[in-house]
Amino acid sequence: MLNQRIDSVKARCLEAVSAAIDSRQLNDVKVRFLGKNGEFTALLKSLKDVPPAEKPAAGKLLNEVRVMLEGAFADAETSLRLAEKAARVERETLDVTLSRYDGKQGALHPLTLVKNEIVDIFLGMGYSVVDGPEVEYAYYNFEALNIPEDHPARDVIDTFYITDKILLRTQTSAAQVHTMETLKPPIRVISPGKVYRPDDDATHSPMFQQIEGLVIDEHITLADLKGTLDEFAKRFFSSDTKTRLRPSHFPFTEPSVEVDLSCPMCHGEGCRLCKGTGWLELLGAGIVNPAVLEMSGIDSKKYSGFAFGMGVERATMVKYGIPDMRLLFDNDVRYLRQFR
Amino acid sequence: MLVPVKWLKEYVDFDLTVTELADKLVACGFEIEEIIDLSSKIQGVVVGQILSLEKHPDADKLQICSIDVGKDQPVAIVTGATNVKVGDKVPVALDGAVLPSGKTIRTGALRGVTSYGMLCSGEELGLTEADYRGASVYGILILREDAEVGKDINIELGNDDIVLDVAITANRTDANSIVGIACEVAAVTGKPFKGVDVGYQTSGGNIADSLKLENLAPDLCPRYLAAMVKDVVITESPAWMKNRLRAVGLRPINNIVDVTNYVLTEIGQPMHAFDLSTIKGGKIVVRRAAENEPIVALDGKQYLLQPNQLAICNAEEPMAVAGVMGGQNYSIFDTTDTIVFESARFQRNNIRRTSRALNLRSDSSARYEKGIDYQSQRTGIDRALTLIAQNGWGKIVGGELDSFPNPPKPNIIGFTADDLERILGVRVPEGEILKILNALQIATTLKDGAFESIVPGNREDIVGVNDIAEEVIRIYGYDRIESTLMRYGKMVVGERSKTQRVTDKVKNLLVGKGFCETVTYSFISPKAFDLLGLAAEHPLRTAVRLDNPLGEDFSVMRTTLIHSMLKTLSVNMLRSNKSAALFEVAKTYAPKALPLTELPDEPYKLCLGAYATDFYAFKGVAEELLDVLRIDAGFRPVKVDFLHPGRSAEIYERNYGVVLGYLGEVDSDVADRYGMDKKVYVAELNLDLLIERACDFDSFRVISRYQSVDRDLALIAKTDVAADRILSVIRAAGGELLTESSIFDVYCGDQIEKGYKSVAVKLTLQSADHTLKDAEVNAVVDKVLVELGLKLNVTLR
Repeated sequence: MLNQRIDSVKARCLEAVSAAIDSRQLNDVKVRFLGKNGEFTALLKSLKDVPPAEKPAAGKLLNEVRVMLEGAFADAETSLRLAEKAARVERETLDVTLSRYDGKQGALHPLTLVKNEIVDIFLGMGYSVVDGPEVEYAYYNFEALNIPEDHPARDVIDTFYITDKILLRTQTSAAQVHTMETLKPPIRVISPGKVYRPDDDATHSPMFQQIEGLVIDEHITLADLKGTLDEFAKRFFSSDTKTRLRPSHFPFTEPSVEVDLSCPMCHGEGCRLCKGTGWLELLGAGIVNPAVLEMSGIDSKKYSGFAFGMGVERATMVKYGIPDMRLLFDNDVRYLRQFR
Repeated sequence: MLVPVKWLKEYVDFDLTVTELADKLVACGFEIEEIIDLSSKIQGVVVGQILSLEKHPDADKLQICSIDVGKDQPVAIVTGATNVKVGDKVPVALDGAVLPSGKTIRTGALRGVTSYGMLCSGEELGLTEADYRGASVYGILILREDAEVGKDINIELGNDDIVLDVAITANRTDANSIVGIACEVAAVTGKPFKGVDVGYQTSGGNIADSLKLENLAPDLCPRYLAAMVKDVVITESPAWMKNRLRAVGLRPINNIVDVTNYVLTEIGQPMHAFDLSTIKGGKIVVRRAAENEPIVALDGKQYLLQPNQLAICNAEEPMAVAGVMGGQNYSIFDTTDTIVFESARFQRNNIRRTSRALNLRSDSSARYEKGIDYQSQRTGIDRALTLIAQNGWGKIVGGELDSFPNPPKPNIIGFTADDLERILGVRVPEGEILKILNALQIATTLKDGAFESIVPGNREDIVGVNDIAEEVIRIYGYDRIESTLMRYGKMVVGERSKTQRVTDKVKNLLVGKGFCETVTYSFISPKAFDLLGLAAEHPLRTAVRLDNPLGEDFSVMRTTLIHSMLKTLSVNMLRSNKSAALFEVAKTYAPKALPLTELPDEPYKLCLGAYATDFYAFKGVAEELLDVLRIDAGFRPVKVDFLHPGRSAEIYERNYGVVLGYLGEVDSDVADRYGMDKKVYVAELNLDLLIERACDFDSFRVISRYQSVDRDLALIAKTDVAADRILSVIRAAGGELLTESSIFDVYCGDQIEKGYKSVAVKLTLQSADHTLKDAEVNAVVDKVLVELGLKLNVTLR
């Protein structure tokens, strides 16, 4: 009697399990049969009414069926979940070649990138960064750099004047003097900044940026200057870059040199960039004129030093292959976004 | 400085190719701008001799010449010229020849007769009568009888030299001469410098008998030297002299003018020649001009001189603007019998100012502006007189007039090889030092390790030991210096300042937000302030003006970056860039008073600008920036002349109330004036203040492990109650359990009474040490609501 009911419940339960098309239906079936008031649960409860002699056999059977039904539910749940997931995955499949990226990322200006790179190289060599005013006294831009009143460099065609005594600095060297006046040796500083000269063409801009370097210590020689700039050139361009010193003239350094780098484009073979010479002029430098040290209150008997200056625009043009300096000030976002 | 190689060889016998010479000069400090082959302008033209002439069968005006051009066979050339005859020597442009005009000559048929080239006129070869006798004749140039048949015409024309264009640095005034460069070449090649050929006989008499010299301005004319030549023959200079002058770009005129130009080039000393008969009163007076004192210069124009300008006068009037140009009436004429040569040193700055003031330039003034030394007045005048004597162009009168009140003392520099090594970082052997300096004409002796150098008068650039070191190393060779890295230097620490760290942080954040950095000029147009619509007395209008700007548009040092930003945005919009988000970090220039008596403040500003965005997105960038810098900043409505009155905010620091800047939508009229038809947003912040207020570092904070509780409140507030105020009240009332509060919706509409808005607020509460109970949460919310009601009349919806 009980056995028949068990068989009947079992058969209907299995049928309902296989008929369930999703997890929810399956769950309903589970509640209907195995829930607190489920049909199979009712059979279990009815075991107490079975005569004692039959109890063990009935109990065993009920238990077997329960294990079997639970197994059937578990299997059905697994297969339904897999099927549902497969369906969801298919539903959610995207065309991964589509894109919402608009390419409109921000960018630092190439002059900043190059300036930062140069600054980093010198920071690594123990230099600190100093700033100086752009509107400057003629004294700091000229006299203190050994450029006397009647020097042609002071002409109005080479300098923007505001008054007789105040001008736009024409060189970051002006910041050198402030440094020497305020810091005590040993000094190792670089001073990046804007400078101004009345020129405007493909290779000159009336506003441009320079990076000036200054080292003052005991026993500083031209060989140290050469070593420093060698190191810089190798890091800024490539490890096979060579430097060449050529005599030149700047009023605030003596001896003065122009520093050429082996052309980073052709590696010294000769190309359009270096006009076939294999060399590029990138820096002016020299041993700080003892007269300049003395003017700034540094004992030139005890201390010596070197200074160098380079144009950031020029370095940028060389590094990125920019043909016209004016493009650096064009500020079209299509240019700006190229530099990352 | 143009240096013909043949002229150079007269002074030093070097054995180098032109390229090798150029490399040597570069290595010792003289950049070579260009190597000019003079013969390159005329190619393929040779000297030919006419063997026969016959009429062209089909053209009356043409002749067929048979010409010997030094080859096996004569060539046939058809010419229309009528001035040639058999036996004449003429320039023959053969097939493929190139003329100065750039024209290439080809074999071709003229009326059926083949012509294998062309006979050239003087003009076709770019010659004038002064270049070659007969060059101005109409027709073919007839060459000298002894011209060598078959030779390149450039040799016959003396046009066969190679010229180096040498750049001379400002300190080496002495090198602006053939002799100066020759000394350098001597030093770098080790060959001897031959010295200047000076030596002449005087024919008696004394210049002092017929001429006096008064130097009333020794400050502007430290030396004035004059000599006299009588029985002067004014004639044409010899070919060699003319060729050399032409090679350096000077036109031969006559022997006397040519001699002054020759000496200018060779010795570097400008000279002037006066006709004695025009020196009224028998005296030369060097003096400052009177006010508006007139002189008609050689260019035919009248100039009014001023008392700060120097004039060379006779007893009555100026004969020359000193060092700049002679007077028309005081030059050399064909009738001149006696000349007076001037060889002077004028103060360089005064010449420059005079030349600029009068807008009058000459080879002489250009040379004086570079600066000349004390030695070349003597060498120059001696060289000129030698040339006159050697060529028989006149008799040198005895004596000279010389005003040289303060001759400089010779500079003697003592040093040791150690001194040089301390500067150069390389040991130059003593023997090398001695050899190099003496080769450079710096007389140097060595005794017991101590050097003594006597600096010659033409090397005023050499002052001390550093200059001596440079002289030595530039000849010894910079390539012999071994690189070192501060071998004896002390260890120093390099670091970025807070300014650099914060600036980099700001820039990198903005780049991450899609902003591109711009760089624009520091000078702007004064019209910018009107374009921005600034009020008449607006402080931003107080700006520094340049005295000599490149143009009105670049004449004012900017007090704000907004103008440059708007211009940049406008350019991008005009070029159809659909969106742009830009920033610039730059100094602005704030004068304390005008005109400037002290330097202006130069605060760094940060300017942002964008279009194709909206107010809150733009403001969000500024908020994020301030948040990253850990600046507790607030925003409040503000009126800015160029911003939308209802969409502009002042940015201030909450704790101290310092104003950091402003942002907003650009006023539509202003945008219109910049040619922009889209909504544009800008912000300008004082970067110096941001750096000052920025918290560069913040220590670690433990986060709570207990559950947080969210409560949303729908509030009703009057429209004019700013979100910021509501949040302030909430935060103050919420106490430490309220960890976050934000407004997530603002609504005005049908369901809300007019003049009011619905504000949806989310509160997040959390305790650091226990799980919050409902009662605690409710207590906080109740307190918030009470405070909102009391302070802002804000109620629950």
